[in-house]
Amino acid sequence: MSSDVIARLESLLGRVIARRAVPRLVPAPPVAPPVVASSPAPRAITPEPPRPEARVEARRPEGPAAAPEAPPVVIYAAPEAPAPVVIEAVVEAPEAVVEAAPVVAAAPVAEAPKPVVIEPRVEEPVVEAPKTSLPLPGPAKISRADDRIAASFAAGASVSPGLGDDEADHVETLAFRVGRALPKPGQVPAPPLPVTTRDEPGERRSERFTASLPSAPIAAQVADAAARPAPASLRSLLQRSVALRPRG
Amino acid sequence: MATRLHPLASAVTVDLSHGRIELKTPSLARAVAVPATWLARAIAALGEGVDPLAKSLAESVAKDAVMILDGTADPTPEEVAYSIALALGQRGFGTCGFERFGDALTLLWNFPPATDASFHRFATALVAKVVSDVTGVQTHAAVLSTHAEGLTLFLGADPACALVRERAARGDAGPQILATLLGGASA
Repeated sequence: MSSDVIARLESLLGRVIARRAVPRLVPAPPVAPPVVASSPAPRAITPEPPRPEARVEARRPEGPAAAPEAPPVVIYAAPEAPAPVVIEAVVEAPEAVVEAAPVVAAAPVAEAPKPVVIEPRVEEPVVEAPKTSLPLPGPAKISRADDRIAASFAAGASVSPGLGDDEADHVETLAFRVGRALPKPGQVPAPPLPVTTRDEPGERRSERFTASLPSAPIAAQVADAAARPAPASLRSLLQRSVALRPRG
Repeated sequence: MATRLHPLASAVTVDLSHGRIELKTPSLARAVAVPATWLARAIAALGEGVDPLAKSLAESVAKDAVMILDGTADPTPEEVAYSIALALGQRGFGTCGFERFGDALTLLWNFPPATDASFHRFATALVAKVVSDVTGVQTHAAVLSTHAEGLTLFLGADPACALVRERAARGDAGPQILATLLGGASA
């Protein structure tokens, strides 16, 4: 063979090998941007079927026939093409995993044993809470409110306006259970007993008759019904009131 | 009393899909909810013609109250207060209770639709009619005092109610009016 033919063959082999290196890059889509950026030339290779000679040469890149003639071209093309694809992809993935692992796993694991130190801090607000008087009243406070409310009901008077917010809520709850209209502190004061000169000791006291549910157990708790004598009927009370005539 | 026949929990049913409010009472099958201020304005606009409206409502309330009493013979003030309060409450008209000062009997109307003077005529007509129908004792009523969320009405004869209205119009306090009334001769 002449030197011209050998030179042509070398140039053809170089081209073919350079082109065949491109299909190896195609199956790596995730890393396409760096590959395309690094090898813009091979665009026309995909639609253009390679020549039979080139295929043969490409299937056997390290074949004995091509080895002696085009080692410099094959060596440079083959390692360069896979290198950015495979190595970059493999390197990037582990990097991502390795970076994520310490963030997720290391932080909680490092903090987990420390709650021993935090626990006392959690207990501190609990200790401070009673000092600042939480809105929930203690059992002693509730019983005191119960006594005061029951006493006020038994006396037929309105609840004293000196109750706090927590006690006022309790008043509403108790009043609902009893079935009375909800007494609001200071809103419905019972008018004082009118002072007259008539001698009717039994008739000169004021009474309040509010709607009461016929629930005996609850009424017994308040002991309101037990404290009073048997009430007269409304009809008889109304007849007395209707009988009142203005002076003069 | 037939209290168990009228549980408060199922007394009113709001049917939002049809925009209806159903009352579980035999006298009224359906209700329409309007703001209390609207009702108060309508009552005030009626002026002296409010009596038929009060009478009509009173008949309905008294009918329910009597049914709640369920034939209780000579009911106590608490029982009557409960029946009337329940009948009023089912209509959004608040609750009520009775108070007695000597011989004077008063009705404490809590949370009525209104408490201003334009509502007093309606209130007295309604209360007098309800109490008369439930007890069978012909009664008149007059506003004795007004407070933030309620009215206190004196229940008695017409002359006594006239005195109460007169003294209340002058600004006298309720207890003072009652003292004057109780200081006179009672029959």
